[in-house]
Amino acid sequence: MEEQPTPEQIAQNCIFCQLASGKIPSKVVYEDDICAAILDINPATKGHMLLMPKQHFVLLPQIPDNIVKHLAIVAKKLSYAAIKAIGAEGTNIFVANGAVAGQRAPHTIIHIIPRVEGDGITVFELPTKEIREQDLLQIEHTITERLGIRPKQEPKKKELQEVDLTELEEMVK
Amino acid sequence: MNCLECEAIKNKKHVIYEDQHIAAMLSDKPSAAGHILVLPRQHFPIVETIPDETFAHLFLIANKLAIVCFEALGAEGTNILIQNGVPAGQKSSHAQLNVIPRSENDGLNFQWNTIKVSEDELSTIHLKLKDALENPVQEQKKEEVKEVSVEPVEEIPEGENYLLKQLERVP
Repeated sequence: MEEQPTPEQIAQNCIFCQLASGKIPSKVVYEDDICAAILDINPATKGHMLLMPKQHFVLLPQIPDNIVKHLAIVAKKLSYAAIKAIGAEGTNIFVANGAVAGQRAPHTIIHIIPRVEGDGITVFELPTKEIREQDLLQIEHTITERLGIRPKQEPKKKELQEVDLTELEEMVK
Repeated sequence: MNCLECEAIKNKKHVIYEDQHIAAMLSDKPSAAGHILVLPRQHFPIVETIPDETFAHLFLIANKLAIVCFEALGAEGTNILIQNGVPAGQKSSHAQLNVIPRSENDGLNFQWNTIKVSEDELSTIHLKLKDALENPVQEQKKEEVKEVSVEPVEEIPEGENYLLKQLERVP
């Protein structure tokens, strides 16, 4: 039976843990006890920052609430710094949970990507799909049920059975 | 104010979660089924205008909803995306956070191409950002405003201000 790796072993094997703790040198723009932000050396745009918790987590959903809130406030500071200090006209703040969502590192990263008009980045233009109202209601119902919140409206599944066909039958006779 | 999002929050249109500070609703023009918008109840145009505590709460709820997407909607992954500012893709004047459920072959792709930046330029950017984060400009500005109100108004020598002279001439 394989032994579970200790936190120390995990941190030793995770490049991002080592970057966040300074064991591997990098261009650190911000650091405190909980997290560190470094410049991405293969950036989407100039000033692209990677914000990471110092503790090892793979997915944002695994991170305790107080650390998530702390990361959010730091992300906001980083976004503002990009606008004030390097001429960004906007920023994208982006998290990928899971490979299918584009996660490429085995350590939670919040990306802060400075943007300017005409910078050629198109990936954050969100495409839109048409969706039927009934499908929206179904999803709404599923989520609110899962959250333990009573849904405002049950989706109308029984309508078809209630239609009175006698009039139609009279017409057809 | 003709803000669609403010209206949607007021009318509780597809709102799946709300509290005193924030509301979360299903997008009716989703990028994927279950695409959720998390917004402050109060109208803020960009992230920088949102108070820290509210923003932290937004992010926290977004994270919780990402978990729900995973557990209840069968998503295989999730993205959290903020389009902060028009060049970043912001379409609405009401700052919002997107929680997007993902699955294999869903047609979405957030993988960007990387650019090459010279070591010199990286170093310059590094120093500028580090400096800005160690010395936040906002706080400095507040101090400047305080100083101006304390300084006594300088007396303008009569010879130099013809406007005052004109006023004196009025009977």
